[in-house]
Parts: sequence; structure tokens; C-alpha cells
Amino acid sequence: MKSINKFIVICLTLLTLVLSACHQYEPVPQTGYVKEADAWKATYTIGQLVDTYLSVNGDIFPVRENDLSKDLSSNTGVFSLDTLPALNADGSNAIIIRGRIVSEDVAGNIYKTLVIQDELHPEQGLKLSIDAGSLSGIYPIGQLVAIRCNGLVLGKYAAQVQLGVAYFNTDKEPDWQPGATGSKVGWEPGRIPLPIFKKKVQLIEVPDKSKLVAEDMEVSTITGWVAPYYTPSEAGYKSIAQLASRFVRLKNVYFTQRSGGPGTAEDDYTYTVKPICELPAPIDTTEAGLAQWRQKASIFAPESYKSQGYPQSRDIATVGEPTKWVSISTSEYAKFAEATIPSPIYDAPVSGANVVGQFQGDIIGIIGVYCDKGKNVGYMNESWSITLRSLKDLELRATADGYYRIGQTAGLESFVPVKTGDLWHADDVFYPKY
Amino acid sequence: MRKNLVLALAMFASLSIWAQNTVKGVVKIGGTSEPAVGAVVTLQGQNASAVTNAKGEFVIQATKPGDEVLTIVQDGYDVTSRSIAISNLATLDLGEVVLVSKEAELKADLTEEMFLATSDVEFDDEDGLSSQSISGVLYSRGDVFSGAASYSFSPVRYRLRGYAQSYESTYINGVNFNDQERGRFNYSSLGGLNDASRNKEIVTNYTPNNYTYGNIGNSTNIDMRASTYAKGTKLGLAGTNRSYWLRAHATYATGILDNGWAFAGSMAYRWSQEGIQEGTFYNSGAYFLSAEKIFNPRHSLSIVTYGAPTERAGSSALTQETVDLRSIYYNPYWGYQNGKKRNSRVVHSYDPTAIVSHDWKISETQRLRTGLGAHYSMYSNSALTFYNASDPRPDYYRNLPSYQTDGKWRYDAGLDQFVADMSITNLDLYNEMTDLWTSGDLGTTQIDWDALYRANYANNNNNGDNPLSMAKYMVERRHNNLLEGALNSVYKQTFNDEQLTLVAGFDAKYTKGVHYKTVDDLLGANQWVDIDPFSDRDIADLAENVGLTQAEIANVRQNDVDNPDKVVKEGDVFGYKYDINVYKASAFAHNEWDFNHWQFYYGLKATYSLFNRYGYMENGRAVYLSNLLSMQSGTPVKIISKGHGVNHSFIDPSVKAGATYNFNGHNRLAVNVLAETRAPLASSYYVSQRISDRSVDVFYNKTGNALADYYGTSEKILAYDLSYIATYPRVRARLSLYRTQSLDGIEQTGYYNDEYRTFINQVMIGVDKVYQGAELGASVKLNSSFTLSGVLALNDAHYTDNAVGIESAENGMKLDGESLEIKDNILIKDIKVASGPQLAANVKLNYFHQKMWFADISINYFDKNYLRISPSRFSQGIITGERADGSIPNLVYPDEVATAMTAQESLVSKNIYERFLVDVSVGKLIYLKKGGAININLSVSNVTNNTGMKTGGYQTGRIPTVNRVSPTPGQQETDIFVVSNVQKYPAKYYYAWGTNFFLNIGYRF
Repeated sequence: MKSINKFIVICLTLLTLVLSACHQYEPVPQTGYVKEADAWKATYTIGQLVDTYLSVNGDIFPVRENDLSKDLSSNTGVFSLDTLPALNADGSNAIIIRGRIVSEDVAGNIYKTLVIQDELHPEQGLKLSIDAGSLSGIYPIGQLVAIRCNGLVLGKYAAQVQLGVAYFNTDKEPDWQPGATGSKVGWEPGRIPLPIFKKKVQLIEVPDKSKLVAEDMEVSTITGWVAPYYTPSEAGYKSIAQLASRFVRLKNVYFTQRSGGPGTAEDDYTYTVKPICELPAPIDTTEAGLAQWRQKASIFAPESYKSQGYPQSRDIATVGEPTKWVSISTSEYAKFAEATIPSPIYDAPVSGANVVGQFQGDIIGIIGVYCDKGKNVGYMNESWSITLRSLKDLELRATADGYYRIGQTAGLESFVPVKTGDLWHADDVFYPKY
Repeated sequence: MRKNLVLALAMFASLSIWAQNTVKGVVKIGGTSEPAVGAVVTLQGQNASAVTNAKGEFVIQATKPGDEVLTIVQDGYDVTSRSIAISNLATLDLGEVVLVSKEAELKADLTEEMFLATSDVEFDDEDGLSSQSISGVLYSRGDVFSGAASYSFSPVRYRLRGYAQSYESTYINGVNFNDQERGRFNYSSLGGLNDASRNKEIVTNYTPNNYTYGNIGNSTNIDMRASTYAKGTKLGLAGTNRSYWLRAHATYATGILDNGWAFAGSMAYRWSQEGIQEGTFYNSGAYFLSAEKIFNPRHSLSIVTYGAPTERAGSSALTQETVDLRSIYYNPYWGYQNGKKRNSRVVHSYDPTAIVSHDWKISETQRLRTGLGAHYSMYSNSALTFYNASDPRPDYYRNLPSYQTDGKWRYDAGLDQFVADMSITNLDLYNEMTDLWTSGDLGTTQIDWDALYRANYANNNNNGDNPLSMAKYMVERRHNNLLEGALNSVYKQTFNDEQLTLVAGFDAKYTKGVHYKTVDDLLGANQWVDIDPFSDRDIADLAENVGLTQAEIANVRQNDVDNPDKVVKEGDVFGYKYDINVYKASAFAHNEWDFNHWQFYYGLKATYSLFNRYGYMENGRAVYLSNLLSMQSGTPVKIISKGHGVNHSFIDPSVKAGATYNFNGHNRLAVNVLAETRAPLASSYYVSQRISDRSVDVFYNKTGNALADYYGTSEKILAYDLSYIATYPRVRARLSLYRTQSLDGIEQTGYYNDEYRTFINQVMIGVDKVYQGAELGASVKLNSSFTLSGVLALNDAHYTDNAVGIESAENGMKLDGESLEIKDNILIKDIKVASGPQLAANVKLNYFHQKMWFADISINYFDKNYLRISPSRFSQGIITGERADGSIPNLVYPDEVATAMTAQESLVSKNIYERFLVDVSVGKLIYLKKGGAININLSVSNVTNNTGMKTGGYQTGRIPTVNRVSPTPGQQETDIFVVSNVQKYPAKYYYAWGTNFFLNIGYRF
């Protein structure tokens, strides 16, 4: 019996060991951000960074370019890269900028991009290209960051400045047109791999959305920023960079129901948008043709043929001045891509009813620019666009009582009644829910 | 003189004249099915003894009835003694008495520990749904073949003949414990209870035996009745550097007490702070209790219960690149939290089991054994998941240096074939990334838990924009539980003094597989919402074809349509919840005829099985699929997601026969043949079991012949083998030639597609395989100290024909941009089955010294090990440009690369030294003066620290693509996506551990 007792004692010891060794994890406390006292101090503002390092041609060659016969030293092409010097051993040439994140990608309109506004000069914005999706998870809106830019590049893509890496692209452009030689192999501003970005960024203090500053802006200021016909020069590009990536609140605007400019022109680049039920029947019913036809639907971003991913534009203009227009650029992958844009207000919930009012007000967004010298030379005022973070950036109010369109099909379900002064709201399904 | 008298008595006894005061039995070598030849069996009190014959049988004629002690002595084995009660009414038949080899006793622990350690990893990687784990025969130490190799073959995931685990059966006290859902036995349920499960009876394949019809692989019966444990106490302490560091165990057995009761109990504990694989830990306790009451020589009743509650953290298969940057011990699943290592994959498992068995010796020639067993296996594994946040995995392909390489195809004139171009175009970035990895930068190589908490806190505070405030990151726990009840009853009768043996049996089993997910840890977030996080991208896409409203399309993301946007917190069930119910009943009978030189047998078995799925949630994707299929076919189609699914039932016959010719008691030749059908396993019968009831039978072509159609979905097996066995005192050898053909199997695989953020299910039906080869095992006693043994297994397991594959995405998205389910031929003819090394060889030298020293060294060689292929890479559409149904896929291999892409990768190292593993062990048994014994055993595996041996691995299902490259210049794009950057989604491998040791100290008294 004595051995039984010994045995029982041993068993109990083992049992206690098992029960006490279970793994529990202490949650991480709410702090975990870098304190201001320990954070990197800025050595440049965003404006100073661009001023110091941006050039017309950049310093890395050859860049991606369609026409290999072009003189690449003049680089009138789309891409350029300016190296930001590597950090010295003693850290004496640290290029540190500080800014607050104004972008948010929950609604899917912004992809692998962060946009920051300078901590001291909120009108200076910078686009960061980072190779990871859903960046807002770990880099939320309102987060103050310090970035050590040494070793990165200040790149230009169609006049849009962005902080990225030098990336050699070997994909050859497809040659759609018979006879083209298509070869765009070369350097371009690429996305910073996430592990590398993490080493170059500090998250300072808890994110605070309320500290973001959206500068009041008129459409005409944007469209008149640079002379419409211009020759690219260092001064010109720097001037463009001063406006691009700025976080703004456009005052007193409305949706003109047009894309590509006001007027009566109706082609594939300049047209009136209409609900699908009101578009004339498509002529070309192939998949490509149908996609082209659907481009003219009055939704934010109709899906392009084979989901190419080019953002689509819908115009807004200052109230009462339809020629002062700029486009709202939306990605076809945005969660609100299929939402009907703020429509005119009608007196009855049917197609063809009389227009009695419209939605107008403020639109918050980030300014972007795309000036591809090949296509849009001389149309600088059409090269600007506004990127929304989500539909909540549209603070438009009804000017009259009536009905507005919320869906693309004919029928009562596509209209919603509204009273004067009500805020515009799309179908619930287009607002990020989770 | 005494011997002659004994022999004469034995002869008389065999004529069955004097039944009274007789004791008989069969002595077997422990853990094998081999008889102990020439062992001396003695009745201590009466000085009567006998010697076992070539079959291990003995008969002793006692002079008087009553209590006695019987001992069995043979060189190299422990003296075995039994307390018995001799009756003058009937012969006392002891049945099988097992001799335990001293050395085997010492090595037994090591073998079982090694087995458990390796079987865990692969099982976990597939969330407990894998049926591909290593061969159970290694756990059982069968005959000379397996016995010589079992310890050394475990680390390389060797599978005997390449068979899947469902081809092997495990019984405990006569009750079958292969689970009906996956067909495997849960070895972890016995975790650490090596002492308690020491007593095993092995049946080679389906040869005649006392408890089972058999299986095409081996069957094992673990005898846990209290009376079979030697009386006394055993304590053990072990130290090791594998998955765990320390093991402690204690076993106590009373032996058969005067009142007919016997008790045995055991406890074990295994623990480590961090195992050999980085970031893993181990915490496992086990208990075992057995009680038996021997009412009288005819009836005995045994009750056994055991369980092993375990908590351990896992690791994963690795790409070649991560191994080169870090090591084979790298583990992407862990990271620091508050300064302590935290692993995202923590397994909780506990499989409490209870078995009641009754043994009724009806008469001298009749015996009925019935057993009732039940167990509830609780197995769950955790994993990180995320929504609207960047992928937290450190080894995400974009975070690795290889992402900066070109990887496109280029023609290599020297090799005259296309190879992947690994030239580095972005060298600076590549170098920077490589430095981060090789320097072990924690932010790069491991999970940053602090950042995940931060992201969740920031999200909590941003509620205004995110009303449902779903966590960015959280840890979910996937549960795969199993409730089983089994009844087995076996009747044995011998005729004409064992010239004819009849064994008939019946078994019935009910299995309920319970599957669901729970929220394990919200990582600081407020809540999670029960939607499929990854079906967002295709919501717009799905709108086009089906004519549903936006709101209806949005329903697709609901996991539980009846509870849309359900908020879940820690401990809540979400995602999916369904049961798989399996019912099975079978009956068998076999006859064995035993003549002097000949034995032959034949047997028959019939099995009825039925299974169905019961879902507790109506999944939005199933609703969508129903709508779509209804529209396409014009008639209403309802895919069942919630509620009772369709019952699938099968009746499977099996016939077997065999014969053995005994030349002279030392040599025999055996031939066996079996033909049967097997019902498919419930776990592989459903296209997407988490989502719906949709089963693969809809994809079989009907031939019109009723019988052929009925058995269309069942696996058909034809197995035959020929063995030559030699059993001499100094030499034991076996040579077997075998061939097993399997037609119409079903294989279920799946992979996680990062781009579509969904799990892709792939089922292959109509899978035809052959397993054929030779096994040679020999053991030669060189002298009283040295024994040399060797094993050579040469297997050829491959697919004999193409199969049909069905691929579907769990989030309902359209694969290939077109269909929800893609059915195509999979061109796998002549591809090898990934079943571990198909060539395995072992040479071992054993040393035994009279002073109870043991030592051995074994050298092992492994070859012909192949990577598990992914059906998606071998489908007809992608290879030839046209699918089986004539449709054109979007993804096609360019001609020049098709050969390279359709070659199966071999796992065998080009460096011949990396194909060898060398193991060494030494032990000592010390008998103490006051009684009792201490054994010390040290074994070192892989003494050469070979870290270059891949033991297994799988091809990833995701195929790299680039958009819209027109193959013909000047031509309008033709929708054909061409594969490029072929190494972008590389295969993942498992490696054999480097040098590892096990030091065991045991005290027995």
C-alpha cells in the first residue's frame, strides 16, 4: 500500500504541473507608440524635400519609355527617379520628414498608398507608395509619422510626385495596335516593400484624426494652378508638386453629370453620364463593347474591360460655374464604385421627370495629378483630380424637395425622397460597414 | 530426460485426451506477430515445464490443480511470469503471452516519442483534417521488418508501402478506434502513455487473427486490460531537445489480486518552454486507469479510461528561400508580445476515452469477446485572421527578397530547356531585404503582435467611421471535434483441435464530427463581425450575371444568412458550424485451416455505412450558388447549407484468401489476396464542406449500368502479396513482394489563395493508384553480443491514370473569372504518390553485454521521395489549352514551359550525404540489491546533423500569372494569361531535425 501512496503523490504533482503551465497572454497595453520625446526630429518639410531633390529628368536611367528613340537625357516621358542619398555612417545626412496620415483605404479607393500632410505645413502633401494592401490597418488615418527617407527615391509618374523605391520593370507593354513595337522596360518609381518601410517609419503618439487640416479650396484655384499649355521644367514640376497630394475641402461644388469636361461633346472621352436604364442601347455587344458602353453610366467607377484598374472620373464644378470643373477620380475596386453619383433632384420618382434642384456643398478629398505628356500635352487644367476616401467625404445637401436617384434601374426602387437641406446619402450597401 | 517426458506429455495433450490440469498458450515476441521459438515454460510450484514449438505454442500438463506461477524464459527477453489458477475441469488457455525484450523495453519509449513528435506537425498544418500522417505501423513495431526500422524511419515520415492511414487499423481491447470521418487513429490521444500502451498485438495485413478481419495495411490491437500489466511501480524521467524538454511518468499495477481484481494506472507529463522548432512550446499531461475483474476462468470484465489533455504550439512547412535565409527551425508563426514569445498556432487537444470489454471463455474451444468504447476527441488549432488590414504573416511572398527577382522563363542553351530566370533586377532592394532576413530583424522575420494590438486600438477609437468596428486582426480557433461510440464483438471457435478455426465478428460504430470556429483572442479589439472577410472583392463581380439586387449580392458575404452581420466576441461560434454523422456496421467471418505444413484461410466481410452532413448555418455562398445553378439549368436547384444534408450510403463487400506453406518449421512461404470496395471517407466526399452539403457524386458520369453506378464513388481495391519468412535461432528474415491496386479513390486537398483571400477546395475523383514493391528485412545474430540487421523497402506508388478534379473557392468567387466550380481532367498519370520516401534502407548493429549494457548504431538511407502535387497545376486546361469539356481557360502554360511545369519535383537532395541519417543509442540496466531496477538510456538521432533532408512537402496551388499578354504581336489580346515568375509561389517543405537526443532514466520496483 505504501507504493500506492507514493504513486498518488507523484500523480498529484504531475497534475498540478499541467494545470499551472497553461499559456495565457497578457494583452499589450494601449501605449506602444513612440513618445514625442523619443521621436525623430524633422530635418526637412515636405516642401523642402521636393525643392531640394526633385529634378526634371531624375538621376536613374533608363526609365520606362515607350519610344526608345527618345533622348532620355531630356526625359519628356512619364517617369523619373531622383535618388535620396543613403544615410551616412554617422547619420549626419538624415532626411526626416514628419506628417500626419490623411488617407484611409477601408473603402477600397486608395490602394497601396499613404498620403501624409506635413506636420507644420498641412498644405504640403506627399504620396507614399508602399507594397502592402489595406495599409490603414497598421497606418491609420490621423497617425503622426516620421519617415527617414534616405535610400528611397522621389519619383514622378505623369507629374505626380511620390516617395518610393527604384524599381526596374521588365514587363513589356502589350502592343494593342498593329504595327506598334511596345517595349517599356526600364526604371520606374516602385512601391516600398513593407519590411523596408517599417524600418524607416516611426509612429508617434496615438493617432488623432481631429488634428488633420483640410484646406478650403476653390475649383478654379486648382484648374488655374499651372498654365494650361506648358513646357515641363523643374520649376513647373515643383509647382505641380505643391498642389498635388494636398488634403482639401472643395467649397460649393456639385456633380455636373459629365465626364471629361462640360459642353455637348459626346465621345468616349467626353460625355454625359446617365443611369443605365436611360443609356441608348449598346451597338457593340461584345464583352469589350459592353464595357465601353457601361463607361457612361452615372456611377462612380464602372468596371473597365477585364478589370484593368484605371480610375474613372466624374466631374464636379463650382456652383453656377460649370466651366470651372475638376474630376472626382474613383477606382473600380472601390466599394462605392457601383454607387450612383449624386443625381439631380426630380419632382417625381421616374425617368424623364423635371429637375427641380441638385445636391451641392463641400467635398473633402486629396488632390492628384496625371499629366501624361503623350496624351494630354497642353491640357494641364484637365490633369487634376480629387480622390475621395469614402462616400462620407461628400458633404452635399439638397437644394429642393423631391426625389433623387439611388439606383441604376428604372422603377420606384431607384429613387429616394429628399427634403431641402438633407445630406446626400447613397444606398447603405456602399458605405464600409465593418 | 525431463524434456522428453514433457514432450511426450505435450503430444498427449495435443490429442486432447487429458483436458484437466492442463495449461496451454502461445508465446509471442512482444510487439510483433512473431512466435517465440524454443522458450522454456515452467510451472514453478510443480517443476513441470514445456518448450514452445515453431509456432510458439506450448502445453504443460500439471500434476494438480490450484494456484500456480508460470514463468517463461528465453534468451534476450525479460523473464515473464504469470499467476494462474489451474483447473481440473478444463484446460487453462492463456492465449497469447507476450515476451518483452529488454532492449525493446528500453527503446520502446524512444520509438513512440519520435513517432508522436513527427506526426503532430503535419496534422496541425492541415488543422487536424489531414489523413496523410505517417504510418501507424511505425508505432507498433511489427515484425523484423518494421522492428528494425521503426525508430529510424519515423523522422522521415515513412509510410509502409505508401499506404494512407485509413489502410491501417488500430484497436484497443478489441474495439476499433479508427475515426470514421478521416479513417485515422489519433495517436495523440495516448500522448505520453507509452507504458500503458506497451502491450500490442500486430496483425500483418489481413492474415487470420483473433480480433479483426484485417486491413490492407497492418492492424494493431493494444491490450490495456489491467491483468496484463506486470505488478509493480515504474517511474521515469526523461530529457530531450525535440518538441519538448522534459518528460515524467509513473505507472503502477497491482497484477491480479486474490479477489480477482487487477488495477493499473499511469500518469505522464511532457513539457517544454520552447521546442527544437523556434517558438513552439509543449504542455501535455496524460492519465490512464484500468480495472479488471476476473470473475472466474470463464468471465472477466475490464474497464479502461485514459486521456491526454495537451496544449502545444505549432510550426509550418517552409519554402527553400526561408530555410536558406534562416534555418530549418524557422517558424513564421511566432513573435514577441510584451517581451514574451507568442505563437499564433496553438493546439488544444484532449481525447478522453473509455472502454468496457468483456471476455467470455465459453468453453475450451469457444471464446466471445465484446467491447464497447466511446471517446470524445476535442481538437482545435488557432490562427491569425484579419480584415481590411495588411497581411500580418512575416513570410508573405512580398516580404521576401525573392519578390525582387525576375523569375521569368528564359531559355538555357546548356540545359536545352526553359528555366526560371532568377536574375536580380532590383539588386539594392534585394540586398536590403536579404539583410533584414539574415540578420533576424524581428519586425521582418516574425509576427509583430504589438503592432496588431495597436491597429485594433486605433480602430476602436475610429468608431465614427466604422460603426460595426470589426477587429483588424484577431486570433480564431478552428475546432474539429469527434464523438464516437463503437461496439465490437468477436467470436472464435476452434474445431478438431485447432485444425479449423472460425472467427466471426460484428462491429457497429457511430461517429459525429463536430466542426466550428470560435473567436479566440480579439487582440484588444471590441468585436468581430461574422462575415467572410474575403468575399468583398467579388461582390460587384457577382452582381453582373445573376440579376440579383445589390443587397442580395451583399448577402454572399454572410456566413449565417439568418443572423446577418452577427457580432461575435471571444468564445463565440462564427464562420461555420456543421456536423458530419457517420454510421457503420459490419460483419465478417474467416476460416483458417491448419495442417502440418499448410495453412490456408478465406474470409468475407460486409460493411454498411452511411454518412451525412448537418449544417447549423445557412451560408450566403450556398444561397448564391443555388440561385446561379437554378438560373443556368432552368430548374430549381437547392444547395443545402443549413439542415440535414443528403444521406450517402454504401454497402461494401470484401473477400480475402491466403495460404502459407511451412517448409520445416523454419521457413515458410505465404501468399495473400484481397479484393474489396471501400466507401469513401466522409471528410473527402464534400466539395466545400464548410459551406454546403454539395458532394462529389454529382460530378461522376453515369454509365447507365446500375451496379457500376452504385459503386462508382467507392474505392475498389485488389491487393496481393507473396512473402518468404525465415525464422532460425540466429537468423530471421522476411522478403515480401506486394502489389495493391486502388481504383476510384477520392483525394481532397486545398490551399489558401492570397490574392483572392479565400480557401480554394480541390477534390480529385476517379483517382487510380498502384502500390507495388518489395520489402526485405533480415536480422542476424553474429554472436552472443552482436546482432546485425537490415531493412530495404523499395516501393513504387504512383497514379495509374488521370483523374477528374473539381476546384471551387470558399468565398464563392468565380475562379478563372468564369465559373464557380471548375471541373477538368487532372493529368497525373505516372505521377508519384507523395507518401514519404519510396526507397528506405537501414543497417543496424546491436550490441548486448551480459552486464546489461546495450548499444546500437544504425545508418539509414532514403530516396525516391516526391513533392505532393497540386491538382491546379496539372489540369488539362492549363497544360493543353482546352479543358475536358471543351472550354478554354484563361490560364495556359506556354509550350516551352509545359514540360518543366508538369514534372514532379523530387524531394531528394542532390548531395548524397544529405540522404543519410545516422542514429546511435546506448543503455544500461542496473538491478538493485533490494529489488527493482534502474534503466538509463541515451539515444542520439541524426548524429551527423544532416539538416538538408526534406521529408515531405507540397506544391502550392496558386499559380503565378501576369495579365493579358498577347502571344502574337499585333493581334488583339485574346484573354490568355500567361504564367510568368514561376517561382513566385514556391513549394513548401518539411525537414528532418538536426541532431537531437533523448535521455531516459527509469526506476522500476
